Amino acid sequence: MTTSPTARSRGSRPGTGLPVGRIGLWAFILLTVLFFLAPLYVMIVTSLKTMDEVRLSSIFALPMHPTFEAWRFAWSEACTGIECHGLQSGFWNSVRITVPSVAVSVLLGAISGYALSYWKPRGGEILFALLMVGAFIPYQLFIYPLAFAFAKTGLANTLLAVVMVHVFFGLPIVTLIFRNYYAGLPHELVKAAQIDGAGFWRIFRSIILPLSRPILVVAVILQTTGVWNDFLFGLIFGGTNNQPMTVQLNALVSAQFGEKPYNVHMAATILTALIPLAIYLASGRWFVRGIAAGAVKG
Amino acid sequence: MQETSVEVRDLKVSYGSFNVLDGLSLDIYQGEFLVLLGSSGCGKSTLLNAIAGLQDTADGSIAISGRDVTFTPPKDRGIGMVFQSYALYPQMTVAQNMGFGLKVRKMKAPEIEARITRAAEILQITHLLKRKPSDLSGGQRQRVAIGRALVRDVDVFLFDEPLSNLDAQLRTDLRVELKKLHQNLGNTMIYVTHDQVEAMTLADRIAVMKDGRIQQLAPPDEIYARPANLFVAGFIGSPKMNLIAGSLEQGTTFTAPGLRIALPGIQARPTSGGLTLGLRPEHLTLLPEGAVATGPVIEGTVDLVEALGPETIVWLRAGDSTIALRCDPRSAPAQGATARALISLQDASLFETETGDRLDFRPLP
Repeated sequence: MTTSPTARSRGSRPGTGLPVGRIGLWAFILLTVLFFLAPLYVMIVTSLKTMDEVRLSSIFALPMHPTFEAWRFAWSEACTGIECHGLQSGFWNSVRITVPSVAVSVLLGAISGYALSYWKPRGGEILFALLMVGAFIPYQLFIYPLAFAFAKTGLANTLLAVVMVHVFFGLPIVTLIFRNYYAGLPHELVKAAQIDGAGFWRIFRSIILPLSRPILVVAVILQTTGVWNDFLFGLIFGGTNNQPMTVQLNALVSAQFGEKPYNVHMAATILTALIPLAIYLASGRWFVRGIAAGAVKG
Repeated sequence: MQETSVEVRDLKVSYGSFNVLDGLSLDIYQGEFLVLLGSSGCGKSTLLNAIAGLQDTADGSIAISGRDVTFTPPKDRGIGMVFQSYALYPQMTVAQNMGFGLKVRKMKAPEIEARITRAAEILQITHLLKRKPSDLSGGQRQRVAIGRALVRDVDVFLFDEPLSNLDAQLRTDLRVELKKLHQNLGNTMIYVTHDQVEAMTLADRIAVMKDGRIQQLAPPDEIYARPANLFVAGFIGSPKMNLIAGSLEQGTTFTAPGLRIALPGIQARPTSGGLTLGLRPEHLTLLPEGAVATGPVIEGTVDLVEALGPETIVWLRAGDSTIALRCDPRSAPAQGATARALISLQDASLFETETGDRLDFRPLP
């Protein structure tokens, strides 16, 4: 025997492959990253320039005298339609829409997911199937009937109307992820709590909710970014007093006469995207983990 | 007559159109350790869940401690339950786990504390009270799960395969502990398992179940010695009871393909069809060469010899049947040898092949 037993049985380590393949892989990844980061880069550098510099330099050039003037202007002075107070009112409108929409939809989704998963109410499966059908119908279909209903009930152009619409459309997906997550927890926990004398709500509050932290994080991220990025519902149901940031941004960018102040547009866009961007960056790890947990343990 | 603790009358449980239990009745005595034994899908867990109130019943009634609880919620039935996964609340400490049921009932904190302390002492888990379930071993978790029932001062303990998640060594240890606990507490305990060793060692009485019916309800020794039908005979015992299908000829001779066994003085008669003779492996004794048989004998060639240490199982091929018998390791025959085994007829069982029912069979001395 000339070869050692280990060398004979192990073969080559998997995954290393050919160096050429590796290089190609990395080149592809790098190219993809550049492709997706280039617009962000252009936005950031343009927002830090004065208009004189925007006119003169290439869009990829770094600002010679970086200034946050455009950001300040976009936040507090730019015109969004008739009013010229910048995006700040839109920001606070978005907060006022997002916080209750997320809180209510996540809470209701958790409760319905819990009920469907553990209590198996009569007809629960049919209800869930209908909910899923609702989730897959394009929501644009519902806009006219909803607008009609809100007009009839006097809810049109109110904050409540926008929040309600977000809760309606958020509920199916939130219910689904909670239901799947709860399906992976041992059902004997609920049985044990029943024997201990806890009822539907007590079990939810004392046993299930404390175990739901990872999936709560996922649901909150999903809903926050979804609601924050919404344009259509805010535009249609919010009226002029409750316009979210996205609607104001659109007004700011499209309603200008003469030369377009690109630096202000870029700054305004970044400001609007800041919240979802921050959430993704801060919680990407949680997000992936939670999605995987919800998906696999179905 | 002993006092009845749990009384199940004509219980019916259905999943859709399928009846898991159909007209099942069972009386469990005060302080009894009753084991529901059967393979999966026999309805034993369904019965336990129905007694606990976790399973809706279609018909019939359940009474616990003389009170009809058929429509009573689980919490008011005076029961505690230990699950296979223990179902300890992961985010709570051991003390909180044990106290949760009392807290839900709005008991005063000092009283809760006193009860937890007492139960922890009985179960010897006082040093674990501040820990979380994830820091405990399987055996410790099980004790906490029992403690959760103990603090509530319940009449009846229900166990749903509580040892199935443990390794073999721990299972044996905890089996002994459970038995001791039952002796100390004296509560009624209903215990579901598919493990016949657990059933034999723990039970005062075993209810062997199949297809939602109780096949036999009797103390372990009787279940073992006098199985009520072919299913019970085959289910209990390892190696299984030798079951030889044949018929009765000339009144007293049991005949199977390649086998003739004289059964002197047999009085039982099958109503129709054949008979099955049931012989436990320990009720066959190998005869030394040249020895004179004092009763009926089976003769065959040795197929296989399995040495288990304290005993040896010899597989004998006789006619069409393969018969297992236990013998002392020192007197085990060699493979391929011819051997004769003496049948201990007073220990044998006889069944009607068609119905599977036991036939009363008393050989004359």
